[in-house]
Amino acid sequence: MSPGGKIREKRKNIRRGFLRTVTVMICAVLLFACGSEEEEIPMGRYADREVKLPGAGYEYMHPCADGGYYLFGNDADLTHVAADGTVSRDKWGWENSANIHVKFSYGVSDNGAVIFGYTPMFYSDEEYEAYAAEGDNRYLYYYVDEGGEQHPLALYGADYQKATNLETFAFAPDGRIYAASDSCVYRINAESGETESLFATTGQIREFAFVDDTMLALNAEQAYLYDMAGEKMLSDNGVLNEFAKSHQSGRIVLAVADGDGTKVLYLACRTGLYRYVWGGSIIEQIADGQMLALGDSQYNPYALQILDQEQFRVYFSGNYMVEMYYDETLPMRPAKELTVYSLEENGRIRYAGRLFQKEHPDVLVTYETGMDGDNAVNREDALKNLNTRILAGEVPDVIIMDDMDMEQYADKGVLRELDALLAPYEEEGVLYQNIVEGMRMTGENKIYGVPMTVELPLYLGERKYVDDIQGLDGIVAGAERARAEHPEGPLIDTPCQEDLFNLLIPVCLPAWTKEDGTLDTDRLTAFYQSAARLWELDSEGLGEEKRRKWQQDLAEEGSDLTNIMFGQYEDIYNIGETWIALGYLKNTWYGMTNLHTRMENYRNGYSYYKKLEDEPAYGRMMGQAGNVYRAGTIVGLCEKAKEPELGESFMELLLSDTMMQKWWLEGHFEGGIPIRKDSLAAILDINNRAFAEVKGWTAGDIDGIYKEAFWPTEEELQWLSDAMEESDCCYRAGTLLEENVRETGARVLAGELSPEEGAGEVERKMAIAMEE
Amino acid sequence: MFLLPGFSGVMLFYLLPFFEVARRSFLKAGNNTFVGVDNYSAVLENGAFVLALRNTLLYMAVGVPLLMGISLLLSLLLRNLALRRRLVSAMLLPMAVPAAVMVLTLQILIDRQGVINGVLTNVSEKMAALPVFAAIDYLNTEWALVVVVCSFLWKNTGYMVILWLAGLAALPKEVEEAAQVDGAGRWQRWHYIIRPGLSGSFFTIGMLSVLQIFKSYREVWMVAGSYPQEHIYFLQHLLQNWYLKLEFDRMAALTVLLSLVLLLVCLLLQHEKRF
Repeated sequence: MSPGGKIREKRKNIRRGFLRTVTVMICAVLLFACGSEEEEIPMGRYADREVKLPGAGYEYMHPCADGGYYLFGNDADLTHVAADGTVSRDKWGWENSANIHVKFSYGVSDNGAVIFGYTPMFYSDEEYEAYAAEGDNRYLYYYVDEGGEQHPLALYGADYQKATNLETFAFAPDGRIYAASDSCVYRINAESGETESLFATTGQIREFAFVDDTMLALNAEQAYLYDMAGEKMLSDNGVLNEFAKSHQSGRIVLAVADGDGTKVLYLACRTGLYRYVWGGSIIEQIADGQMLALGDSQYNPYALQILDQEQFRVYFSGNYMVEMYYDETLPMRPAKELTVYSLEENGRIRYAGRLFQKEHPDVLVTYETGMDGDNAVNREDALKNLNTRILAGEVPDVIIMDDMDMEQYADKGVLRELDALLAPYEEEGVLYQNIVEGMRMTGENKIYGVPMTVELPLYLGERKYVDDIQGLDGIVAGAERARAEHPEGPLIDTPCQEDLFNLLIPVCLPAWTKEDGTLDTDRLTAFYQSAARLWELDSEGLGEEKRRKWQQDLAEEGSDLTNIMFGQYEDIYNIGETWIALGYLKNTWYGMTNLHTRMENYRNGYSYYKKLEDEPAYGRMMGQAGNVYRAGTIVGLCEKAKEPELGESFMELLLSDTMMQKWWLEGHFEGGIPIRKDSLAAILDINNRAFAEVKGWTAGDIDGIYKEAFWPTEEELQWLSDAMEESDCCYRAGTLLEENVRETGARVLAGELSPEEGAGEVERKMAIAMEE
Repeated sequence: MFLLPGFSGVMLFYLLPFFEVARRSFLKAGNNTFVGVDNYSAVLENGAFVLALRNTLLYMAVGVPLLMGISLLLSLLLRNLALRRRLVSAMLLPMAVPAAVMVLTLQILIDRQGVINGVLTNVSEKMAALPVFAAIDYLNTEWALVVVVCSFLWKNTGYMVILWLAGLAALPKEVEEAAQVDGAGRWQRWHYIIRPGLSGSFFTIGMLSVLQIFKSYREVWMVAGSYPQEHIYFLQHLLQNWYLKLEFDRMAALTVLLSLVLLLVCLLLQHEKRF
């Protein structure tokens, strides 16, 4: 063979070898990817069962080393439940004469000694002034020893400020008391009240644990280690620090057990139960939170107790307790999985997931949120992540479409058509069909999502200001009338521009799109004109400084002014902060409609802040779009769901009377009006004993009336019923149009753009979006 | 065989995904049905695509020559200065500025009530001879592209100056000195010695400048959002918005088209370089 031929042959061999290698690699990848589906699932996992507590009103639990525990709370006696279940209550008679108004933070020791903080009652201005001189809103403290001997604890110390509120207390095994403020950890001498500052912290310590002579103080940022014998700080524990930082949503509770010659720290939080061998370098998960009550975001763990035989007791907020036990008969991971996705945490879905899990022990309900609070993911990032998953075929079974563009997902075939699934509901007439029909997509005439609840736009105020203000022009006219009579102060509840848009956009947005899908700039211009005039009228009586102060106060309180409810309306309207209340009826409150509109009620105690000049009136805010409702918890099923039947069952649960009523029975009164007729009727039934028993409110003969309640009149109930029946225009948040209108609207309200220019800019942006 | 590890990586992380993208460009997103070249037609007929392509090309046509020209001029001026190193270091500072800070600075400068409008208003008020100046909303008018080009130049000039200086340093000084002795003027030295000597750097700096144009999208997006003024709506805006709108099929088609165009440009440039 010639040299050239040899080279060619060599090249040919290299090519062959290369192709063979690549083929082998591809085959290997495919083999790995297509592994056997029949994997044997190992058995055994933690399950939990609810523990019946010996009464209501408890807010605190102290686990005792002997397996018993103490319960305590502002409205409850100190109660001891022994390991064998024997209950004994320590009724303190002395409290009645101790000038205690509200008890706050508590600490109880194994032997029954108690320390707690409280705010006092005042019977004269002098008493209050004497108290406030050393710091307003500060707690006072009581210490009750194991024999029941009680004395006020006057805390003092070189580094202790009296205005400092101690929120967390703990008794160390040696009986010494440790406490934490939002910036420091202290040691308290219960006899003398001497309070010694031990170390500074960034943020409030929420949990203490004691391992031999080491104190562990944990907050959302860091795990502080303190040598109690040597009285010095110990070096950081990176493992615990990392754990604290990566579990910031919800609380972490701790318990210490003796291991084989070493101490073991157990940590329980929303994601599960963890085990850390003291001094080790890893924290191992021993129970997955999503299959336990721990994963329920409605409850925050308050205390963890280690029982015998790998059992644990967890006490939660809302006076709820479970025992976790290891069940060898349960598969480690259920064979089926139902995946539910929502952009933001939704308590109702979390709750439904727990119910579904109980009903289907063979199914793992995985609830995923795009923005889960433990990271800095924003809406756009979350949507991108979801879209990537969809692109990769990792589609959830159920998507909660709140704040998402449902039309877009329906258009792209991600969502499944629900008409057939909703047909039985229509036949039985159990849902407000007008609301369901409001979800119908105009293009394809199909329904892809159904809301669990709705919120109704509403105005409230004195008749002379709110008469005939349903439309947008009417609101402006009402505000003009109110401003003419009251030149000072705000008119409507809109401290920020964003609040004004929150109020007005939902009742106007559906009217901005013409039948051909283009933007109606005339209506948008009118919207900007009205919004700008309202902002101007509101600002006339406020001034920059007052507005800034108002914004600051509300930011600190975290108030949502668009939520019109019984108490808030009283607060805002009666103290004269506003003259026209615009908002959304989004809850039912202990069997009431939240509409508190009768003169006799205003005369009965609640209205002493301000004398009404005219009859109060209320009505439906129509804006530009008419009978709008704001849909909440919009349930959609995915076209390519892995478990379509489970998805359907989950949707049935969400739309069931059980879910809708049970949600309220569990004490969650906010978050929208249910779209089931029977559920709403039950919730509004003042004779519904279940609701009365939940909070002690009653219209009948049940004990526990402690507040005067104003039940809705027949007329008000009829109004609500009519409003629900008439609601046919759905406002869905999260559209691009709304985003652009808000963005440009801020510049219109600031005077940088005229309403016409603003509408023009939105039109231009939307033109590009339409072209896309 | 020594190429195998490297080629496997390229195959696994670039070529296979690209083939998958190419495959998807012939399918309808959602139900994965074969639609032929419909997605390509949809892209080419799309008004937003035409706008984005026009703007991107215009941005490149203005930004790249300006960047290359200004940085070359500066490097020629700095070439023989004693303070060259310090000046170049100072010019690199914009590259170290985080994008968020840059965006904030830009907003302070170009806002309707920003520094530039403030200065111009003051000047026009004080000098009666000048016409009355009305504040301009730079990012929401046709000035937007000027702002974007200026910020692009500000950020990248220093880096390009360094690259040109490296190219200049590689030129043999003796040749230039000999030409000077022979009476060659500045223009002749530039035209016959420096320019031909920099042809290699020209290709590299040109490619890097084009890449920097694409990278500057982040700042544009941060300052003007997903739907900016129509003159600064670029191809990346389109791709980003299509991604959020689940227009995967069109995205795939556009990606294939862009890749082919870039490949063609590279081949052409290499061809030019060869001859």
